[in-house]
Amino acid sequence: MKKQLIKWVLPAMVLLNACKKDDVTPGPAVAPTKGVYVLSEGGTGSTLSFRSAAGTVTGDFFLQQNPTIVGGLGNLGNDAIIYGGKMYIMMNLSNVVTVLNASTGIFIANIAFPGGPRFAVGTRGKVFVTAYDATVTAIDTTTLTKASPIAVGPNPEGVAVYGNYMYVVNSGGFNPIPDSTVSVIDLNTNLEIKKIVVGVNPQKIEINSLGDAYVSSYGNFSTILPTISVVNCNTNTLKTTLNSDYVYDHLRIFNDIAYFYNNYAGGPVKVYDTRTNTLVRNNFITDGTTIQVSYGVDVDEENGDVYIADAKNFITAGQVTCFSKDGVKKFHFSVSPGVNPNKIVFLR
Amino acid sequence: MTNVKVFSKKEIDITGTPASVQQLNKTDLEKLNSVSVADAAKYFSGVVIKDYGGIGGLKTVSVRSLGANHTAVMYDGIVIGDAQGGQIDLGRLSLDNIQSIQLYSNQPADILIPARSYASASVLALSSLLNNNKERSVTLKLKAGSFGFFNPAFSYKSPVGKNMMQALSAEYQSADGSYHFIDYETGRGRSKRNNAGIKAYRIEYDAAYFISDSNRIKLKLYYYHSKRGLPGAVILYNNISDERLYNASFFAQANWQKNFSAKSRLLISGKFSADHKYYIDPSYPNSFGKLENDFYQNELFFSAAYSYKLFNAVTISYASDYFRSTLKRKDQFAQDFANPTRENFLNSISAQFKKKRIEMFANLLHTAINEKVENGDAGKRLRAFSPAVAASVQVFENFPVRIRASYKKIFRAPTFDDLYYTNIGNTLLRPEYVDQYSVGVTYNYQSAGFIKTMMLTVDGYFNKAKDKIFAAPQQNLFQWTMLNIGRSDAKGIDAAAHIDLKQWRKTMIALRLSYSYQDARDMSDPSLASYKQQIPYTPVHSGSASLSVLIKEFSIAYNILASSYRYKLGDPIPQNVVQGFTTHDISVGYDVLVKSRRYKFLAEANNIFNTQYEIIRYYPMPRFNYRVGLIVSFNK
Repeated sequence: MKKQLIKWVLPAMVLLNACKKDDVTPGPAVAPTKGVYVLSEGGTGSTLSFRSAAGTVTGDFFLQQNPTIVGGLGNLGNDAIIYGGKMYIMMNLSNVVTVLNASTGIFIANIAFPGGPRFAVGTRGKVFVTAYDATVTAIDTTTLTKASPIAVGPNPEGVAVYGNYMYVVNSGGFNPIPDSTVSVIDLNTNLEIKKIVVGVNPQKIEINSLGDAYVSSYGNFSTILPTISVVNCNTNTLKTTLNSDYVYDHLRIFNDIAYFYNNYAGGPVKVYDTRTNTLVRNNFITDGTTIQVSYGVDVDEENGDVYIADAKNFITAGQVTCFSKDGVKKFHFSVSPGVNPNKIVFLR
Repeated sequence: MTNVKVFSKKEIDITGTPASVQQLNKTDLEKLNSVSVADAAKYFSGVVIKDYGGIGGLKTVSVRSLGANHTAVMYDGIVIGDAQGGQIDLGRLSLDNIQSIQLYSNQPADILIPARSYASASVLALSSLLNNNKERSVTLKLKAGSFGFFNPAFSYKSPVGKNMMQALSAEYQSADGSYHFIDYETGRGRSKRNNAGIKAYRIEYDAAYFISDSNRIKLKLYYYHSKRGLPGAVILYNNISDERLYNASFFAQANWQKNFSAKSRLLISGKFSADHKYYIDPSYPNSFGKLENDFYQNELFFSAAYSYKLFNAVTISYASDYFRSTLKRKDQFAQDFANPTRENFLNSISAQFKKKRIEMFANLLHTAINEKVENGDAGKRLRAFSPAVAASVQVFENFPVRIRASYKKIFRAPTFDDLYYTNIGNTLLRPEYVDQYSVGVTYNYQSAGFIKTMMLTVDGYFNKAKDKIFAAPQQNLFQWTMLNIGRSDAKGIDAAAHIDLKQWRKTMIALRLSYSYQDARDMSDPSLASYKQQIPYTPVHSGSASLSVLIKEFSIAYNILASSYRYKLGDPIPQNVVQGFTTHDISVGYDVLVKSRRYKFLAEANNIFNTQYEIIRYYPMPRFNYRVGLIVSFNK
């Protein structure tokens, strides 16, 4: 049961494909104020913090902007994306996707996801949400209504889009023997056309500009170690599995540079060039700054700055540190009362 | 049948023992509006009961800021073992058949007990002993109240022949448990606890055979069965709650005490226990559509203790225990489970010095633990010595003030859950160690005046815990695991007062007060915001007051429990605060004897100010509730 517990308590971070080149991104609803949102899954209740461009941090930004919503955000926020002026927050234990005005953080609606929403990707004017009940479901971003769920494998996690296809990793992490596949969904028909075998208990998927999808897997927590599988999205076949120097269960790709990390084992973030298939450096951080547990890594698409969310000991307030792409610390901030920060979303 | 008196536990003088002891006897318990041992234990000082709410909710005890695994629960002289989780749910122990509860900080000062009684940081001892009433008696009891509470009970006691007593006690308890609460956490207003029902029954049989004045055998059989819903935490927008827990516990225990002479005494004890725990989450998102945990645990226990009075004031003893615990898992996740067996060998030597004004107790315990598993690696074997010393001195001949001091070094072994829980367990774990220092003053005042008796105790303590077992991520092993990473320092004060006023006409008044101060700091990791902060769920101030008045056949009791605020996590920030609370309970009883039948009518009103409070965040406690009852007993 603990493996499942891990998955509830320590969810993966998602890749944000909202700005992929094939997206039709609607314009923002209001002129955005620049800043950075941090979603913390919390020990009990989740929080959403905001750091303005001027550097002012509001620990419980959701509460500040929505004082009448007494209970706050809800429980176990796993992922958040901004797509078309709205922010979508996947509240796994509360079984809702919470929709906010991305610029103001003001609550718009809760969309019920009884299966337990996990991760999301925005594409073609829709937000696709994976849920533990073996589905991925599109939300219409104008009406905020759900389409019929698309059946995928057990306990799906990360999701990404390339061309006409959507890729959903099937972890099966709640089963005694986990799953190890990626479902390929044709976005024109919304049907699963294929399953590609990857590592055991896959979590995250990110796709580079060449159409190589990098999939990180947890393994079985004992004999099978985490792995990085590479899927060719042009042929929808497994291309390769990275060698034993790459024992990582999480990753983030930006500008074809992959950042590999382990979201509960700690250890350094490894940098890898997915275009040349070469190691850039073993430790992303070059100035000696220490991070206890890299619980989430996200990249500011505006300038390539890398934000690392540190969960510390998992029961104390988390911290987010911003680095230049060369691994030199720029600034950090506490997300207190936020515990276990796992997702950074950029309001640009 | 004068020898039956061996059975009755004397009232402990809480001011006279070298280490702190607190006691609630049958009369005290009747006044405290309590259903389970957990409800009653809240009135001890130095105790925090972690109560997840409701009749079926988990209730564990923390004594002097130490985790629940550090308190042993003893039932009629033998420890209730739980090698799997190590924490006894006090909510499952009904008060119906309990005659007294003692809380020993440190250990019992008895010289002739099994070695295992010395093997924990504190001991909560429950006694269901037969009283010395040699008559046949039958008691019928029915209680009912809020949240569908229904609780009939029956007990029967009778002498068998000239030298034997036996007793049978049975009880059924059910409740739908669906109480209303004000949901201030999630802003839903008045809400109801779902899936909080419980159905439980208990059967207990006791027999005692007196071969002679100095030679007796006691036997106890116990069976408990329960089915309950687990309502879970209050979660925003999510009202689904359908997890269930089934539990069956059986034990048989016996002991034989033989006094060869006034100096030389022997106690042989044995116990077999079997527990079955089955948990199901029917909406778990796996391919079976459910999650099951099905665990079977057995324990076999033997102990021999011998004491010898060397001189007038000096008694020494030796106790040797062997016990073996096994755990088997039988569900769909069972294939790789360790199915461990643990063998414990405990040997203890003790010495007691007892004079009128001075009492000293010292003991040295040796523990050996060997472990075997069916799959994977076994936990480390363990060999350890644990010393304990305590002394109490009455400084002035004619002034009933005593000073006491004690030291004990003890540990709790890693549980089977710590060592073997799938993917999390770590077989390299060491035990959690605690150094306990305590100094106290007691005052025992007796007079013929307005105050008949007044017992005051104040104890200050310092507990240093290291190698505390926590779940933590571990580098390079790519898994969460249990590690010996915690340290804590706890300073505290326990104070208690028992005052009985002189009977005035037919009115008797008694007052019990307790107060606890706990400064318990997390010393684990200087780089964290929680470093040197108060340990979660440990109030700085807590206390209780209980006033009882007896007027002829009427009894009235007023009870108050209070706790200052606590933090749900280690960071001392407003968002982590769990508010302090005070609850007030009243009970009224009418006791009448009609033709040798004793009728007692009871009415209890709990939480009379309808306070909404939580002990554990997101687990709301019941607001106002009531119980009424009738007890009929007749002797022949």
